[in-house]
Amino acid sequence: MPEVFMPKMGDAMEEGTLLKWLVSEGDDISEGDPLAEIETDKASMEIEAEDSGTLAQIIAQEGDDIPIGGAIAFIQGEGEEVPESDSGGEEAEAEEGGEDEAQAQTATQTEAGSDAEGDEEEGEEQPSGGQADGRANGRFRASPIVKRLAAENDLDLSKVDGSGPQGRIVERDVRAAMERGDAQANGQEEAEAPEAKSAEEPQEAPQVGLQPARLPEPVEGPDTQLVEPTRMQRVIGERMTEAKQHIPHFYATVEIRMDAAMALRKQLNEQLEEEGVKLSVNDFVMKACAVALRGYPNLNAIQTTQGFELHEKVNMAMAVALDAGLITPVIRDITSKGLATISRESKDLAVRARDGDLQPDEYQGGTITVSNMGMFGIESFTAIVNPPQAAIIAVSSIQKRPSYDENGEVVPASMMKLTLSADHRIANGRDGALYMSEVRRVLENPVLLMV
Amino acid sequence: MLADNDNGGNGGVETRETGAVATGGDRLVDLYREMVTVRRFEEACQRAFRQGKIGGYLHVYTGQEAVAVGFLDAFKEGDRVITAYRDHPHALLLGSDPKNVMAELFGRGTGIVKGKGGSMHLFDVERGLMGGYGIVGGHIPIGVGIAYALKYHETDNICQLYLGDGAMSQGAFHEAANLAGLWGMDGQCPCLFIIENNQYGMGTSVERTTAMTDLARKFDSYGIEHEKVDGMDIEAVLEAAGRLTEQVRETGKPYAVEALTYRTAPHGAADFFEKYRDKEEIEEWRKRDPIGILEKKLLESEAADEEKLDEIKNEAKEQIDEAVNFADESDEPPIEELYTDVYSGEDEYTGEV
Amino acid sequence: MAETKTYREALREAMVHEMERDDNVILMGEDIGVYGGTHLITDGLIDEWGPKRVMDTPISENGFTGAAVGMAMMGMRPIVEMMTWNFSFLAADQIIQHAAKVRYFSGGQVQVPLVIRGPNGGGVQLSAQHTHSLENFYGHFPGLKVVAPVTPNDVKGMMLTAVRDPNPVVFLEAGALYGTKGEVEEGDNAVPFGKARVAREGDDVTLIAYGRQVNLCLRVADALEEEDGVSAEVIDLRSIRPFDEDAIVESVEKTHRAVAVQEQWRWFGVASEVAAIIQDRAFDSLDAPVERVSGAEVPAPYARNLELAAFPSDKQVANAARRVLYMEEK
Repeated sequence: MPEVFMPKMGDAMEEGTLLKWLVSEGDDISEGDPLAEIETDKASMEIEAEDSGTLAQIIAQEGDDIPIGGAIAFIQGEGEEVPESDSGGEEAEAEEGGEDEAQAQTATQTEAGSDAEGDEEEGEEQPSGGQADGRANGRFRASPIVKRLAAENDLDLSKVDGSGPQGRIVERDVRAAMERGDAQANGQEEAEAPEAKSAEEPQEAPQVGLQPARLPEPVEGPDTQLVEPTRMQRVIGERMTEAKQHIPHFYATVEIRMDAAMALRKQLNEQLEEEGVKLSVNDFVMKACAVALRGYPNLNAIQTTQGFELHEKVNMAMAVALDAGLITPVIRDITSKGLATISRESKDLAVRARDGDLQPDEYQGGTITVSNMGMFGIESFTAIVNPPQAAIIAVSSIQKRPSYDENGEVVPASMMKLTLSADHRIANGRDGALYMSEVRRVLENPVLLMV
Repeated sequence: MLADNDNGGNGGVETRETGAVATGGDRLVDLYREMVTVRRFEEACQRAFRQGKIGGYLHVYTGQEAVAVGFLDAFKEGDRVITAYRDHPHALLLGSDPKNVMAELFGRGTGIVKGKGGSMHLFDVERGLMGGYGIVGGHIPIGVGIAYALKYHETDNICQLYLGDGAMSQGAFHEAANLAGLWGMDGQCPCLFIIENNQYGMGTSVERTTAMTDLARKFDSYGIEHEKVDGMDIEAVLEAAGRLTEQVRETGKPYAVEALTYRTAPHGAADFFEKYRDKEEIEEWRKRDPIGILEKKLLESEAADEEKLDEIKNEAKEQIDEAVNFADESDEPPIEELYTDVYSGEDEYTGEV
Repeated sequence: MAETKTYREALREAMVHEMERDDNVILMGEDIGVYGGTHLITDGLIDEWGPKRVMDTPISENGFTGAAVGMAMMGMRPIVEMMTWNFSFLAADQIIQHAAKVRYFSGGQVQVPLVIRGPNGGGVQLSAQHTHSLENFYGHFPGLKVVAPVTPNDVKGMMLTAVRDPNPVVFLEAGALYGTKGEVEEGDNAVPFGKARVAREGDDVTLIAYGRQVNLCLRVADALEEEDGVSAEVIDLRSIRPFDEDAIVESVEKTHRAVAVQEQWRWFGVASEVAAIIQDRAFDSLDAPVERVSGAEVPAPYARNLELAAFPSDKQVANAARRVLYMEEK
């Protein structure tokens, strides 16, 4: 082999520096003659010739760094030809070395690339991570088995007190809460759900609360009081924020002439007084809203992991205000129930709701909500859709107002405004408008409540 | 005996004469061939190592050929051989194909231990080679155990246990030699200790590692008889090998023979001559190079002429070049081999299915 | 059919059983023959079997363990005794660098059917150099099998399996338990490796241990039942390598709480591995982090009171159980 190559002269040696040539091109070389001085990171030494012949060509120059196995010169033996593309040989060697370098560089770049990706992912996750921590007191808020039980049983952990260290909710706390029926069903109150959403919609800003940077520091003066929201308030707040951010709300208001309904109500209450039944306006409203849904099923829908699911049965949720928040007990399959039944159930649910005595299936599974603020003299208001439902009807107070009869005469009328808030993803304005018209028709012709 | 030279010619299967120590001309020519092949193999390894084709450590036998060639000439089928990490010639001389040995050094799947051991762990159990070990002295107790088992199973085989001068400072050597001497009292340890005294343990000369530089005499402490032999003279080695292997076989008692030899290459290919020997020393010994000495003998006794010697050298070169090419062209082991052979039995494979 | 025997008797029975079955099985060790063995396990065997089957060795752990490796490579099945496992460090090169690895670096050409056995663990005032418990040390190395039987039935059954296994087996006997008694099955009761033993069933918390701490956990389980109305499950790992992950995962999926107990020090120990496996495979079942109860971070002391304080106590383990149950410690 006519090549003289940079030898490996140490376990870790990868390249050597050619310090000095001891022979010149054209010299006669015998096997064993010293050819050059090379330097590694450990020492400098001489290379000896392994073949005899003429030093035909010097490839590496003094001062060059050559990787091991790289050609540094050619010795032409008797009858041997100097390889034509000597640069080819060198390139082959250099290429090998170069390839390795290129591969090493690519490897580094790939690593750097995946590091960057990792950072991005972390960046995305941080808002949700921060959000989860923002809700938690300390690192362990609930033990893993607790989180699993909550997920399986649709529990609201914010309603469970933790007896473990630093307020950690542990298994016995959850089991006790489940027996009492304390923990309200709420699939999306899990720490996971908001994070899952953030993974799906990376464009969204962090879901919950204003970004801390924009809020002022508390004054903490003698005339101020810093309030810590209760768990329930916090959760409601988060859910409402989430609903407002994710659901494209649209609204439709109708003004309903309630005179006929109120007359019927009076009549029925007189009849049923002995049985202890007292129908309320809200009972009529709830039934009317449910009956009207027959023609507009997409307002009686639930948003699931695979899209909106329409329900035939109407499980009417009614908003009940509590001291520390709000709860929505459900009257199941309301269209199959008569007004008296509805009245009894709604009263019972409201009382037990205020006492905290509801069972999970009494506050879970609503398909549409009615929220009545009529008792507060509100002329009209809009409600926030209660996810995963598609619609909510806000019921305002009945106000006596001048109106026109069919002859154009001014007459007094009891007018009540109902405002629909609905999810534009499942229903459009027309659906909402038509539905509300139907509600009005039913309430203004209350015999239709019987069918 | 060496593996066949596939190019034919004067190769062919070598037959081994057992017992006879006659140094007839033909026999010496055969031994010359073996020594030249081993030498050529080791030189090719050094070159490949410098080219980065062989990774890790490389320990070559250059200059010590007469010892392995001579003692393994007395190997009988069913015997066992165990050595440390300077093990290439032992594999070649017991009949492993140089292609597969070179492939092992190159870390290929066609290597004799599937690329999983490398230079220091050559095994060819079918042919009697029980390894190839990297811990200085670590193999010595194992070799003594192997000898014990040969007798326990009532064979008349022996174990040739090669060790270096450096290993004789290790506790493991002393414990093992003591056990061999003890078991040998009942004839239960047919172990021939062959000390390849190449004067240096890694970079430190024997004089600087022990006050008792007569290494053979250390065996006195363990009740093991011993002698010395000139490790550069193939005929002297042959005589000792034939006589001593038979003696151990017959008596079941261990014996130690210290072969004085010299390494003309550095300890592993990765270290530096100049740092611990002077060039004059080396030149002197090169005059005593075992191949050089034998060449002279063959020519003088007219058992071979220059032409024949060159022919043998060229054949060896071709055979080894072929081995290098084979190794170059072989693939690395398949990645599944990572998880095989950790355990024996149903749990042969420990990786992910 | 079962008989009550001591741990020591059961162990001896297993070795004799194998010596009868296979001529290749020999015993090797210091003072096991003429002297009868420092723990009287091999007492009298040399008279029955002779010095070739029951071999007294000089004090050369490295030498005779290495020789045993060579013998095993040639098809013999030596059972080598470490007078105590503390002396195995002298033979560690042969066990770790040779026995464990030679199959691998010979490309599968050899196997090492070797059993190395001896008393392991402390608790009998033998002080620092004689008190190691080496499950995590040898359990670390691929190529070795490591077992630590606790009951007399297990020591017999696992010794039978060990001798028949074609791989090197580190057989860690609970030295403090040689005299304990238990029901031992007659005949061939080989116990497979890689399967833990549920020593006691329970529902509220899982106690996981090996060696004599298994008995400690059983005592603690009784106390927890009586005093606190807690039902504890006790798992005897008994097979360190291969390790029975499934057993501990199944148990924690049932009880939701775990305490891992070990005689030796916390750092890099078996209990850490147990905790890691549980958090990896049973995370959603956990009601509390896995507690580890380990020996004090000191070399073992001599004085009785100090030694007791250096190893896990009943009280420590019981309180660890109470902590994961969120109960008041006592």
